[in-house]
Amino acid sequence: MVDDTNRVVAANRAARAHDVQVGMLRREAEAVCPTVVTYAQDRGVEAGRFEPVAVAIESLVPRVEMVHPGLVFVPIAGAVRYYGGEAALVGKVAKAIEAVAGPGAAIGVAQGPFAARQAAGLAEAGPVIVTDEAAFLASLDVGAIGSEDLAATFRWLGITTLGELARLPRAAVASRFGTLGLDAHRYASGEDRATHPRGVPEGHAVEDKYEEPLANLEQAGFAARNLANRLLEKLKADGVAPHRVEVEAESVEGKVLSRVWRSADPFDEANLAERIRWQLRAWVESGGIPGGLQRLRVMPADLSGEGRQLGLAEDPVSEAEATRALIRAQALVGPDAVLQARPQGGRDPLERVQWFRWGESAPLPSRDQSAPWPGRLPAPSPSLVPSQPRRLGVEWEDGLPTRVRLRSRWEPVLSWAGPWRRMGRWWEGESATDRYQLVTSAGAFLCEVRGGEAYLVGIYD
Amino acid sequence: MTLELEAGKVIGLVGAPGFGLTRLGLGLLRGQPGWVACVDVRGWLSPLTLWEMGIATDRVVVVRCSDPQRWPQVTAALVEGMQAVYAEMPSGIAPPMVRRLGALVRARSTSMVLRPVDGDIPAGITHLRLEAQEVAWEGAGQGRGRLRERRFTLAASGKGVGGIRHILEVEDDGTDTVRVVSRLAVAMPGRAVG
Repeated sequence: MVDDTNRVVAANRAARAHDVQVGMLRREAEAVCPTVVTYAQDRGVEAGRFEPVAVAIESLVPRVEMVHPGLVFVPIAGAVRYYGGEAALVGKVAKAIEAVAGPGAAIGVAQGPFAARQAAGLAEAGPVIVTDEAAFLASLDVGAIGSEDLAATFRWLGITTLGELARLPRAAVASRFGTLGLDAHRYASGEDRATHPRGVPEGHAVEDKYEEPLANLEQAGFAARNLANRLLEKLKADGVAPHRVEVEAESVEGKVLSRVWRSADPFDEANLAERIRWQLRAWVESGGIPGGLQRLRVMPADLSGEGRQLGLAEDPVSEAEATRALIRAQALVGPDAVLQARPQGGRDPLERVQWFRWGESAPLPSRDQSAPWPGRLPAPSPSLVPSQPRRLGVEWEDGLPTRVRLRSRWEPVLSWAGPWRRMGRWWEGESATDRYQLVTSAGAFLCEVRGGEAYLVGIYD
Repeated sequence: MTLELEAGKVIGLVGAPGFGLTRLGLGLLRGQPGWVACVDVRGWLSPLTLWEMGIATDRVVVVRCSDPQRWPQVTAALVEGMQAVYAEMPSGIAPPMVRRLGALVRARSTSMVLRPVDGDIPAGITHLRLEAQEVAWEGAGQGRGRLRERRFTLAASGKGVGGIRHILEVEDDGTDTVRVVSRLAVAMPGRAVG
């Protein structure tokens, strides 16, 4: 199985016996084993094929958490008591998987997901049940942390196992290797997110109901993207992102299916949409959504603050410093004077800006930007816009502006454009206003004439 | 030549409103990584200008502060935490205060644009001082057209231009505010220019 960069991402036992290894180039694999047959990877198909396995595990232990098709985490604390021991449970799970997918499942049992994943990686011959997690982690090669570059650096520094990494002071690792190093150190020390489901905050879930049931996968793909976008936007406003989501689908016949997906890094939109799509495809292909999809709901769990996407040039330290500075500014001038802006529809420069307090989520725009705004002033816009229109002395001759009073001096108007007329709310007795762009040798100004009086409403500074 | 912000340096913009310095100053914020703060003394700054220049404002915060007593503290707090600060300066700020602010900019490696609302900047603070001289708009006729582009001239002085007074001509068609089209060294009385 190769991915779109032509690297081997999976190989069956027969291929592995011929030294085909995951990570090889397709050509290398073909060189070591000329009879190898390669297939392009399709996660959607994989999700469909894997679904029976997930269902089989789910029938024994509830709340299966998918990472990607082929890898699931199962919290087994309760099930171990129910089935009377880890070995008994693992045996049952292995048998259930074998019944639907044949032999070859790699099962690892440990305290945390990281250790369990590593144990499963070693479970070539049979299930690996880790009893002493610290010792197990300490014996692992440092490459287990996932980042090849970082692992190579550690090896170069003489750190070959996770145990040696865990013995280093965490602060030193963090300051030398940043968040990546910190994560590696955490994993090495056996600190990991627990798989126990936590309460899902109700307000964060997003849901779509479809009057026309979704029947094909393409529609479902769009729906998935849309929901993922809405969910993450909603969470972004609170500065969090989910490590886990529960996807719930209801068919026309009222059958409700749900499945949990998890990720070591917080989900981003593309990732999340992809997983929702895989899941829908898996359900559809296993015949789980008879009649089409009429409701789709995505609920986040395991929210974490590390989810806010940092740009390329950003680092958490400067983020924290900026936040501190703005909080200090807020304390000095009040929260109403520390503002962010968002564009909205409108005719006048003042109208087209929606201000909101820094640190609060942006309100919904009250005026649609894409709507036509007849009488709207053309760009460029004035860069200084008085919050209240100020009286402006303008001399007119035959209805044409000739001179304008600036700072106690009268400046001749060199050229002018306009007027842009704006109808007031005539039904409320408001008169129409005309806006003019006046150009003098000291700059250009936006002036509004209302009821025979001229006002300064903008400076093209 | 392009005008650019530099970390730990202050660019001073001196001149009455109308000569194009606000747009120039805001345009300098383009491409700044991290958070950017604008200190707005009158509450007049319009983010429309930023949007029209293609500068996203999701990491731009406008702090309104008209009180000259508070202004140094507010600006200092922002200089300390932000990567870049565009600060209007109210009149009546004591020169030592401004100098301390300049020292803080250097110490924190912040990029700063300082724009006095009225009057001048005390000497020895700015790396580059730009003073507005003339402005001419094109596009408007006698009741026809609309404002399209402008050209303005600035007198540049300070270390940023090698200590030699320059006259810069800047063209602004609404997309790129800091395009210097010509640059002329001007001899100071009694000094040779080589």
